Amino acid sequence: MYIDLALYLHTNISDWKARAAAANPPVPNEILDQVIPPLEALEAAFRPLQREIPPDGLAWDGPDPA
Amino acid sequence: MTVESASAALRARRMSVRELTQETLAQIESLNPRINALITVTAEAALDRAGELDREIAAGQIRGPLHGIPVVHKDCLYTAGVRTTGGSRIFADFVPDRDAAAVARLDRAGAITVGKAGMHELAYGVTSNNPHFGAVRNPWDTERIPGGSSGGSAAAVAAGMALGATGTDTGGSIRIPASFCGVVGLKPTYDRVDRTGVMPLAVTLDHVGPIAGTVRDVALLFGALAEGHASGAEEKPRMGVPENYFFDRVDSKVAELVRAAARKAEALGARVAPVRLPDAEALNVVGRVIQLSEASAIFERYLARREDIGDDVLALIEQGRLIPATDYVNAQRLRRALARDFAKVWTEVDCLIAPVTPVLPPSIGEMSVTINGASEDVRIACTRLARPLNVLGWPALAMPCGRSKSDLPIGMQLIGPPGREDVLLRVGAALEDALK
Repeated sequence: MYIDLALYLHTNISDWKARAAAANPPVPNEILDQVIPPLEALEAAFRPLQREIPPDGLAWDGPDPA
Repeated sequence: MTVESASAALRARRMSVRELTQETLAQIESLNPRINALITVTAEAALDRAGELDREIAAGQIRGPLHGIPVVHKDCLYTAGVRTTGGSRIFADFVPDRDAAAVARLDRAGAITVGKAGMHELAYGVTSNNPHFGAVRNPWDTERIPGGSSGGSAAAVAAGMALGATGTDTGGSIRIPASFCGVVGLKPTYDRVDRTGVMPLAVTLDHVGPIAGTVRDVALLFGALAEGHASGAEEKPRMGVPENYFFDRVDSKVAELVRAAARKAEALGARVAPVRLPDAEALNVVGRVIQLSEASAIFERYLARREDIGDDVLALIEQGRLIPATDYVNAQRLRRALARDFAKVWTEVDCLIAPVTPVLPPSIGEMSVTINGASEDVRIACTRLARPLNVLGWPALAMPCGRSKSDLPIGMQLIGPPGREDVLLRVGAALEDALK
């Protein structure tokens, strides 16, 4: 499923488990089920949006005055 | 009693500041054991201060409408010499040596601090079901949550344990508890109220604002908290009712009451029309990436004391640690692009009206809610109509619009352009009078 989604989005989908193990300190195994599924869902929603960033897009620095 | 009525009574000498403070402290003593709205009560300091403010009145020196008004501060706002826990065991004994800017401003305006309000641990959640200081309870039904993270602030005002309060709002944390407790809360424009001396949760999403029993009381508190005020709100404002997103997957009674309030606004002279908004769900996604990243940047250092952090907050801190910096930066770039797109709505309308949350206050300990037959995580459900305004940095005023069949409060939010809190407070006050 990861591979198909990655191909569809033309981007890499994270291996959250590997990232959790590599973190310093590592994310404890016993809470991975509370950590990884929400990140997978968030990533699935976020990756398609990334493609909408304009090439000259800057970071938000406060609301523009009305 | 309201800030307005108490202020009038104090000025007319029908009541002393000391009497008002004593009355408030008696209410706290009577109700706080049941509601658990306050972590710390500052009775002695409050009575000393009341005496000082009474002497000023006797000398004809009245600081303004907040002179002698009892308030509580969310326990993540620094208070000099008074412990400031952030709702966390890690800060259980932390005593700041200075006041937060917001506390100092209310103090200068004559408000009296009677206590520090309970909250969701580290302001990172919507239930205020705190594992270290106990669950804050909703005064309208003590088996239900008051909302959060400023749950103690809203519950204290609703229960008459203070006439006003401060709160913070990163993804709805002023508006959600205001809505669940049947009081009024204002999330101002981003950075309109100085955040100095406030424990941060997410540095580009955090807002400080007031909570009180009425819109006019909130306006009085906001007047003391913020620098500079816009004015000149339209006599007949154009009010937009979102066609998309804000009424999707919303409890039918909540939607009915908010739409009824829009009709009431129309009857009062507002020009009400449907508006189509850009992708608000994208704002939510972007906001969650930003909040997770920024919060973990702040709290990661405390993971050495993970046994002192509640399970729900710990899981969120761990989630945020795993988000790459590149995603965070791109979320901030998307945020700017989305904000520019959303700002176009202000060419059509002067304010928007929408529900604050899609649900009634859940029961304490409930992890998911059912909305029109579909189940949803409590935190995600409670924040999804509120968080987009934190991402945009726009002001939003939460206020009651009616009650459920089970007599629980239901709230709506008025949303305005940046810097135009005056529009929301004016429309809100008129609607509040009409909805009574």
